[in-house]
Amino acid sequence: MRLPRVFILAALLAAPALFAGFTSVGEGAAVFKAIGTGGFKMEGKTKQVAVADDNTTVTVTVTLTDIATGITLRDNHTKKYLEVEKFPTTTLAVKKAALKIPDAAGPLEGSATGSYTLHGVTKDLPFTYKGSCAADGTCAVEGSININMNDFGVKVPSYLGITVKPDVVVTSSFTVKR
Amino acid sequence: MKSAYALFVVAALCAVDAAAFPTMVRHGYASCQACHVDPSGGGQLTAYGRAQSDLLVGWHLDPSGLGEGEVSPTTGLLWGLVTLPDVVNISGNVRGGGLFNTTTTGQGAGLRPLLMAADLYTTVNVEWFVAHAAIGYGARAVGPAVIISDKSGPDNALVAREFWAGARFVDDQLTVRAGRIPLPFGLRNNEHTSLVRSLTRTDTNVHQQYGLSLSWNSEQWRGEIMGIAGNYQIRPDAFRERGGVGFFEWAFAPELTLGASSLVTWANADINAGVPTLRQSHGVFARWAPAPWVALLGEVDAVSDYAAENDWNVGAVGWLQADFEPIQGIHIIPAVEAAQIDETQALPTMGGWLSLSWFALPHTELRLDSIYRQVSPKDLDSVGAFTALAQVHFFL
Repeated sequence: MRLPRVFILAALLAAPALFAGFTSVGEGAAVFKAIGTGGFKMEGKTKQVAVADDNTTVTVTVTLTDIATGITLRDNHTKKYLEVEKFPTTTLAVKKAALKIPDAAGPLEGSATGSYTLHGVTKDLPFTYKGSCAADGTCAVEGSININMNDFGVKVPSYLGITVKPDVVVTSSFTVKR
Repeated sequence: MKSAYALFVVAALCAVDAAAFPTMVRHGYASCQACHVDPSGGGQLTAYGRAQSDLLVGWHLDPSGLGEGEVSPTTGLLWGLVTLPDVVNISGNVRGGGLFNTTTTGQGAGLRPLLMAADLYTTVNVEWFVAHAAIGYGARAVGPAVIISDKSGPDNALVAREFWAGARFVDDQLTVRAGRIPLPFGLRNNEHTSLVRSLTRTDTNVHQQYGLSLSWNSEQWRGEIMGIAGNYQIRPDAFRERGGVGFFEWAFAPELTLGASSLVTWANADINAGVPTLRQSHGVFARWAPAPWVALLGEVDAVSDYAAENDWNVGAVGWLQADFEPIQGIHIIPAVEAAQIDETQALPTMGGWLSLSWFALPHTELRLDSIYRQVSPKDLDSVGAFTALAQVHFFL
């Protein structure tokens, strides 16, 4: 049985829409939470979060060059330790098939393993994510991943008696539309 | 009688001392230990704290380049003129100025110079071991901290406000120490004559006690408990309060904390009343910085003392303060306070504060305080007292 020519044409035209990847909507946010000796804690924040989707892999990219910790000198020290001039971004790449994404509106939540790259080093790490998708195809997502600076060749920051612990929690939130 | 009340009120408004910055919650510093030698805050700064005093506390004529380079060498001892090995931390704390008092009854009116503090701090920190001492000159009303005075009185004396030795464990989160230690209770606010500090006897000016304490500082919560062995700088032994005190503070967010404090002491002869007294204070306190340019501090405590021959005295005391910092290093600090302690008052004691503080130069604060407090004893007219205080504070 032959499909009508017009039906084949319609299917070809619809295919990109059916399998279209996610694109970022609006600003995102990424927060790096670190703790140190004596109850010290700091948060580095940036709004430079981008999501790319090639239909096989979803990649979240956070640009580190504008990371802000609330103190200019500490921003500069953080960038120095991360060598942001040489490694300006950190990325998490995950196979799209590993993500539980609802077909329609509804909550999304799960965990998966992705390839996390920081300071030029890539490691497979587990992460969690949660959020919700709306009927118009937009999904608000927040993900969290625990990293160890030693694993990525980042020197543990120490300044005037305060030493930051190597374990850092990175959270990223963004909105995408399919 | 009315005159006595007036003098009491004036005496209670004599000075603002200490160097604690609970408002640093505005910068996300809910824990104090990174910047202060004392794990619960106040007093001598660490090297990290000295750096923050330049980066976050001090006023800068041109703040645009702040933090582009490293911290100024002037953050060091004596504005950087002296360099010490890392294991030794020496600094000074000098406060002096002029004080004006007057009351609605005309009692105690006058202007006089005042030296509030002239202390030398020394800390030795080798690995887990830490020892700290403060010694200095106390000009007036420093009785509980006196070591030697010319007439065994509370004025013109050599004072040792605090000295302790201890150990730090678990990435410096746990501190165990013994010695003369500030009582861990409520807000460690600068205004040591505020009703919450003076009525609970928990200021960092003179009311430290000998004892053993454990403190904990983590990213989410901090606290300290202390067994009080008494103040061995007062005699006779009957005056020495013994018991326990502690606080717990949870950081709901880097800029929002809520804490609770408790104190129970017993003395065979209360230093004020002279009779056996069980003294208690229990309360809550909070710190919140809704925006970087404002920090709010609040504390409410229930206070009671039980004197065997008299009965319970029960009351409450509260403090609410806003610290506005429109430009880094310049603070406008209004506060209100109230206390109702016993049935001898017709109305609660009420107070209002307005302070201006300018961290004009490295390690230098210029501060103006104006304080009005009204006491309403039962069967007597209310008495109001006004104090104005201008001071220069060097934290060397």
